[in-house]
Amino acid sequence: MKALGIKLFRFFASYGFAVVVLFFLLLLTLFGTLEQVNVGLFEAQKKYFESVFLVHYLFDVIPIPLPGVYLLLVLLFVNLVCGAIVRARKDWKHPGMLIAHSGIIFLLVAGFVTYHYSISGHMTLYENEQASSFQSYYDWEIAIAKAGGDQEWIIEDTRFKHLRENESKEFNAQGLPFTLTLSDYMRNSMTTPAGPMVEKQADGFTLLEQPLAKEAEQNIAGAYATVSASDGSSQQGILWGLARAPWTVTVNGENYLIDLRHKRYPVPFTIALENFTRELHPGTSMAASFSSDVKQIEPGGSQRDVHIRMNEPLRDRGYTFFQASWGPQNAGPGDRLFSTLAVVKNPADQWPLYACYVISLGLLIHFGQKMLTYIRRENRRRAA
Amino acid sequence: MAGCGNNDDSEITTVRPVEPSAAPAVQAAGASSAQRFGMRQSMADAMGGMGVAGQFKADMPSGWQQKPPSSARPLNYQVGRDPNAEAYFTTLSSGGGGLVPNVNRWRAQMSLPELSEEEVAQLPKKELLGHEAVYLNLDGTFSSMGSEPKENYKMLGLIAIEGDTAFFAKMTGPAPILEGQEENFLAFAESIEEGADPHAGMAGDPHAGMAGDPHAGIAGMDMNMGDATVTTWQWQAPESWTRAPDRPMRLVTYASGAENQNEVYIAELGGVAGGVEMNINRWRQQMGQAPLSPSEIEALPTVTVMGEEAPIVEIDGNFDDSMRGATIADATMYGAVIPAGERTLFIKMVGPQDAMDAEKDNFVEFTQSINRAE
Repeated sequence: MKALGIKLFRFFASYGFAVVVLFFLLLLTLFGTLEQVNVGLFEAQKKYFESVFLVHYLFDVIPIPLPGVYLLLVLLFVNLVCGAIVRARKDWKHPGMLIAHSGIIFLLVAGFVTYHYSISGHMTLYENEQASSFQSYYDWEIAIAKAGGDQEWIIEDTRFKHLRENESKEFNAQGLPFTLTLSDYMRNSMTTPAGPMVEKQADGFTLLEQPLAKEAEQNIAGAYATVSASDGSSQQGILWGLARAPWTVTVNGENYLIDLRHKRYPVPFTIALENFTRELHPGTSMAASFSSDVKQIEPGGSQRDVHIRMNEPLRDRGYTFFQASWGPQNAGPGDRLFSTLAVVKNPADQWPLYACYVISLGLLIHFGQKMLTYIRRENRRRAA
Repeated sequence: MAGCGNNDDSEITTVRPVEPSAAPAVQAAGASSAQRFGMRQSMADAMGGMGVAGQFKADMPSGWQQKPPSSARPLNYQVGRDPNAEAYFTTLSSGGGGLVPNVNRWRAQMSLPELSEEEVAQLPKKELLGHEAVYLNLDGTFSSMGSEPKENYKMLGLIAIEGDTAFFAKMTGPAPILEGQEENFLAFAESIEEGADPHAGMAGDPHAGMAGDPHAGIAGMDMNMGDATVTTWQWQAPESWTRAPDRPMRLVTYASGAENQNEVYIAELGGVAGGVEMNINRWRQQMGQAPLSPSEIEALPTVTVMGEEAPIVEIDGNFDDSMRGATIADATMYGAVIPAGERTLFIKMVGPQDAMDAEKDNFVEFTQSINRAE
C-alpha cells in the first residue's frame, strides 16, 4: 500500500504529468476559443473552462471526450504541490524557484476562490438615481411582495431553473396565504397572444421557447405560474423576464406582486449617481472618456463623494465598482444618459496581483542568482 | 400545466426589504398581461394617453420597448434588451429624394455597393401603409452619421414613395439580435395605420396633446401601488413658447425667445430623485454657483403647485452642462422641484440673461399650471 502511495505521489509530481496537463490546457483553450464563436462566451466558458469532463466534436462530427479545464487546473495544483514544493530540492540558499512555484500555486488558489465565491453584476443609474443592490447579468430570481408592503420573498433560480416542459414545483412561505407553483421554465423565451387551440396559455398569452442567445445576458427567462389559495381558488399567469410590470394576484382581498427579474445582490451601502460625465472624440459620438461622480451613503447617514472612472474603481468591503459603460449608445445632444457600473464581490480580488508579485520575486531571485554565479565563474576562468 | 410536483425544499426562506429605489414598474400593481408584455397595444393604450405619436399607431411586437416618439420618428422602439437595436417609422415630404437614392443611402450605411435603377426594381415588394414598398434585408458594417462603424449588423427596411411623400420603416441592430426579428418587423410594418390614437385626445379637447393646442399638454404616467389607476400630468404653456421635439425622459420641451434661444422642459423621475436640496445645488453647480445650505434652501421663494408649496430658484451665471455639451455665458436659469407623491417633477428653463428677463412670469405661471389630469 505504501509502495502504491509512493508510486502515485511520484506520478503526480513528475514533469511528464505536468507536460500532459499543460498540453491539455492548451488544447482546451484552443477548442473553447473556437467554440465561443458558435455558442457565445457564456456557454463556451461553462462547457470548456468550468467543467470536469466534456465531449468536444471535432469538425462537428467526431466526438472526443476530454477533461475540462477545472479538472486540469486541480491536477496542475496537485502536480505543483507534489513536484515543485514537496519533492523539490529545498536549497534555502537558492529559494527562487520555490518562491515562484508557490506564487503559481497561490494564483491557482485565487482562481478557485474566485470561481466558487465571487459574484458579479451591474448597477445602472441615471443621474439622481440611487440603488442599494446590483443585478446579475445571467441569474434570475422570483420576488413576491404584498402591494404596499416593505418586504419581499425571494426564490432563486437554482430552485426552479431545472423545471422543463410539464415539470412543476410548489413554493410556499410563512406570511404568504397561497402556494406558488412554477412550471415549464425556459432560459430564453418570448410571449405571444395565444389562440383558443393553444394548450398552454394564461390570460390569453403563451410562452414560446427561443434558442439561446450567444450573448447570454440577452436571454429572457420565462415560466408559467399558478397561485393556489386555501379556499381552493387558483389563478394562472406567466412570469417573463422582460415584463414591464409584475404579475398581480389577489388573494383574500389583498394584492400580491410576483416578478421574475434578474437576481439582485444587496450592497451594505447606497450608491447615488450625482453626475455622469462623457467626453466625446471631436466630431463623433464615440466616447473618449466617461466617469461617474457618486455619493456612497451609509445606512447611518454618513456619506462620501467618490469619482469612478476607467481603471479607478470604488473598492469597499470586498465590493468593487468599475465604470463599465454608459447609454443609450444612440444618445444625441441633450439626451439623458445612464451610467453602468460593473460590480464584483470577490474575496480573492487582489490575490492574482499578489501572486504575480510573488512569482516575480521568485524569478528575480532565481535568475539573479544564476547571473551572479555565471559572472563569478567567468571571472575565475579569466583569472585562471 | 399540471405535472409531477416535487414537494421537497418548497419553503421560501429568503426574505428581504423592498429596495426603495426599485424601478417604478416593479411596484406597479394591476397591470394586465397585455400591459405587462406590451403586446398588441399602442403605448397610449397601455399607459394611458401619451398623446405624442399623433398621426400614426401600430402594434408593438413582443420584446420591443416603446421609446419616446418625436417629430422625426412618430413610432420609435428599442428591439429587445440591446439599446443598439432599434426600429422606427417615419415619413418625409417631397418624396424624400426618390426611391433609388434612399435605397442606396441605406445600402451605403451598411457599407454595401449601390444598386442600379433596374436592380432596385427587382427588389422584393411588401406593403407599407397601403402603398407598395421595396423590402431590404441587408447585412454588413453599419455606420450612421457621426458614429463608429459597427460590424456584423443587420438592417431590415421598407421604403414606399407615394406622390410627394416617402414612408420608411426601418430596423437596425446587431445581426445576432435581429436574426429572429424579421417576422416581428414585418408584422409591425403591416400594422402601421394613419390617424390619431383615440386614447391620446382629439383636436379641440383642451387636454389634447399635439393634435390640438400644442400649448396644452398631457403626458406621463404615475402607477400607484395597490391601485390600478394610471394618471397623467397636464399643463398650459404660454402662447409665445414653441413646442420643441420630444426627448427621452422629458414629458415636454419648449423653446422661447425671439430666436428660440431659451429652453424649458418638464422631467419626471421616480421617488425623491435625490431630493430638493441635491437637485437645486446640482443646478447651481451647472451655473457655476456655490451650493446653498439647507437653511438657505428653506428660505427660497415658493410657488403653489397642486396645492403644495414648491421651491423655485433663479440662478445667474455661466451655464455649463458638460454632459450635454451645452454652454451659455451670462445665462439665467429658473428651476422648480415639485415632489408629487411617488414621483418628482423638475421644471427647468435656461437661456441668455437678456432673453430670460422677460420669461420669469411665464415660467412661474407655467409651473403653477401643472396638475394631475383627471
